[in-house]
Amino acid sequence: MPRARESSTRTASLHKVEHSETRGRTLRVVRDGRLGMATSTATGDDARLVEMAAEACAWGPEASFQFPEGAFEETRHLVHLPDDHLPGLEEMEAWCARCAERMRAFDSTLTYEIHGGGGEVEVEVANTTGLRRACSSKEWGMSIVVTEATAGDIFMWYASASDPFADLDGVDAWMARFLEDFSLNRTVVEPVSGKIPCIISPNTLRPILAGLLSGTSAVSIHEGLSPLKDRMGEKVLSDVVSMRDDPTFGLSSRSVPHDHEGVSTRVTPILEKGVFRGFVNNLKYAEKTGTEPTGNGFRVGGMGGGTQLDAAPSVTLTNLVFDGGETPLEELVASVDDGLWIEFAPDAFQGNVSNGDFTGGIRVGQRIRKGKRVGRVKNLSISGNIYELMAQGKVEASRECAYPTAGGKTLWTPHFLFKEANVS
Amino acid sequence: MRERIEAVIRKQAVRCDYLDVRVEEEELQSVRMRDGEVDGIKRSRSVGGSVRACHKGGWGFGSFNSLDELEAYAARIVDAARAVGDGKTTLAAVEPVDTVLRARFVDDPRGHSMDEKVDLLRAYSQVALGSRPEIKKCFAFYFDSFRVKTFASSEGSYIVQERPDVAIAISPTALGDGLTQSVPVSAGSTNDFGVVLNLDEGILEKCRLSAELLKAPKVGGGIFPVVIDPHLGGVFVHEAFGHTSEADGQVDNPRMVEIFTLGKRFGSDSLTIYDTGLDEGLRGHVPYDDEGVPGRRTVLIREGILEGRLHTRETAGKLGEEATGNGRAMDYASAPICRMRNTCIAPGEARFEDMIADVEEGVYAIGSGGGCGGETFTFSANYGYMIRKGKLAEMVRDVKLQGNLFETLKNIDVVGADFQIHDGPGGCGKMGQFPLPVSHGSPHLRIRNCTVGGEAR
Repeated sequence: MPRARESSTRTASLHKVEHSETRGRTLRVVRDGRLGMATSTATGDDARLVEMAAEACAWGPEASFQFPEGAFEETRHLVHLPDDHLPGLEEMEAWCARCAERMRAFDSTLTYEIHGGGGEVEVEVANTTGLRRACSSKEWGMSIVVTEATAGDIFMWYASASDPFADLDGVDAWMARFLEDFSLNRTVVEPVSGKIPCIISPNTLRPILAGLLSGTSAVSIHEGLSPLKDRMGEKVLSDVVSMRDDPTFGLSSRSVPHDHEGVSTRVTPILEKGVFRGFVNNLKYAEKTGTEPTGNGFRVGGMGGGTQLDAAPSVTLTNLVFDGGETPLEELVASVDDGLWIEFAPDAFQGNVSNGDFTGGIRVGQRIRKGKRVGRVKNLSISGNIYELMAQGKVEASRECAYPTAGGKTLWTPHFLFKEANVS
Repeated sequence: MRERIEAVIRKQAVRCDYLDVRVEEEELQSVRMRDGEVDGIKRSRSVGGSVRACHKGGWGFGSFNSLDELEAYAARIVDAARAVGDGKTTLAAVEPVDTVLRARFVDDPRGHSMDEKVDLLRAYSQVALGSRPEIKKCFAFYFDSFRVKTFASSEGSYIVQERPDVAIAISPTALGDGLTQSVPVSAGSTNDFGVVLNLDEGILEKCRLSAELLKAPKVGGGIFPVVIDPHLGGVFVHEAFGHTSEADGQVDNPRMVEIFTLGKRFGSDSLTIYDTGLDEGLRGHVPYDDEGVPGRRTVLIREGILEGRLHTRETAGKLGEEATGNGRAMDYASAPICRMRNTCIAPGEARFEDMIADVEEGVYAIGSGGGCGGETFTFSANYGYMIRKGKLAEMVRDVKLQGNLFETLKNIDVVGADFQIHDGPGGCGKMGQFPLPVSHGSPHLRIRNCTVGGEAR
């Protein structure tokens, strides 16, 4: 039962309040060894739901896996927010208003939009073995986007916060960081292109990882589409690359005790010092790949991969956690004579993902000259192959790790330095 | 239901400037197939509604799927709008409409059995897998749905629309030498199951192309004259220009309004761009949007000159322009925002042969592998060919185009006569609402000085 509340401030006036509530049931039925699925958000519709699912079995895939066994277990109010506190509308209004105040004081000619929103998702899983598990999680976020448009330059800068602010001083500190970064980007400098060193921020890493995540998924391994098929235990990337799926890490909406199939979640090492160690699965692909279920069958969909009731449980990471490297971020930047800091390239998941290729426009990038970020560059894109860029000797990782500043807390990563990224 | 909705509106409308109620019911079925075997099958039923209110410029919106809660939600949402409104409600005027729009089918997908749909996907998969030794995998997907949408407003509109949908995608995948290549086939419609039939020939052609791509070299990066095919042209106009034409990105930003001043030149005389909700049968067909505004054809650029933009009622009201019927919501749980429908570049007069005839060295980019727009855009083509001395030459892979929107519009120097519309599954994503059904169309286009991504040569 996802709930959400949202307030929006647009150019200094509170503009919109939204509240949505969706309840529904999804039923998977095995009949004559075949699997059918049906979903309904209609109330009092159980008979129709059963009928639809049972009918679907006639054409469904062979149900080659068993539903997990268990008994009743309930986990309520998982602490995904400090003090388990989901901010109310009045608090969010006050924070939005404070942000607007700070924006006006900074530059009253700028146009900006601020959103605050939170939600609670309750998931209950039951099956015919007697298993019944339930948990609820809460998530909150606030985001700001500023648009500075001039002839020939439409610059958008954005950030989000995932933890509620303790007080208005917390809002001020967040806005101070935001405006400091924004200021750095107001100066446009000459671009640089070619095979150049690039610092990849957590925001940028998320899309360009698509190829690596595809390659380390049970689906592509089983289908034979992964460049890493048959390479378990081999060193496939640089020893600075260690990553795991970790439902116990941090406070994200995926830090949950069980998945949407009722399977307990667990930590799954994927790469250890560049060595391919494992992959996550759901019940179906655990059976197909002959591995233990890892508890990664989640019903997700839409933009951002949130919980989607009518989606089948697909193989989905919980929290992707990278280890940090040995070099402080400041030193990584200082080591770049002429290159880029790529802060946002949100569409850099395009290309032949199966092969690990990616390409995308650099929405916000800064030129680094002689170890310092000197200003924003425009009209550039980055492309390459994630396996080649993260190969031994071609990548370094910062000691410090961070969440992306936009898009939630399911990724924890260092900044990476790609020594020869292709920028054009 | 009508009496109940109208009673709620009567009761709450006196407390706000504007109120609307939407209620939707939908049934959907889908089949996923891998290598000729059913991978997943789903049937779903969705029922829900939403209330939206505006008071003194402040908006409240709430959605629910227990219709018993309609009255309670309406009161809460009006309270919310009253709490945040402290300015002026400015909505472009529309005539109230009382109508029921039934679906007009060429061939109703509901008249075809699930057996037939599963057999169809299986047959297509077998065509692909049996076509060539390089085709090792085939993913196939089909869905159809039927939605009944009800819209009622405090201005007296009561609109019931039936909205069917059907779409298919077949993705044959060639494997070899550590590479995978896939050129998909897709189709979609709002009134004709027939669009998913008779795709064998197209699948065989895409299998051939996928296999040949395994041997094709990567395109070399650089700046070239580029000819893009109608499919990629449609994606370009949607992603790069269409989204910037959505007025919600301009309305409260005087500098953006200045950049997009109507009457400014944005391209050559041969460039005309429009968005329309009137094309029956296309997935971008929107007879009435989710604010009750009738669909219309809106010219965005006419012969190179900016002529219009895409509006919700609020953005149109604020800019003193007419509502265009672009206030669309993904479903009952989403508020209407400014969205495209069927967005097209109008055909010109050039023949394809003439477009490439004077190109010394260039790239012909075909099909869409995805793209994102804005002022700086990036698009991937499915595949391409080099153009050398006025003729198509070797096939190339990993063709990515990028550029600055405003410069690229001005660099479109030749527009073909061979206009085509593309429809398929999926849709447009914006502000968390994905996938909204849209269509796009274009003829072949030639772009001078287009940056082709890839390793510098």
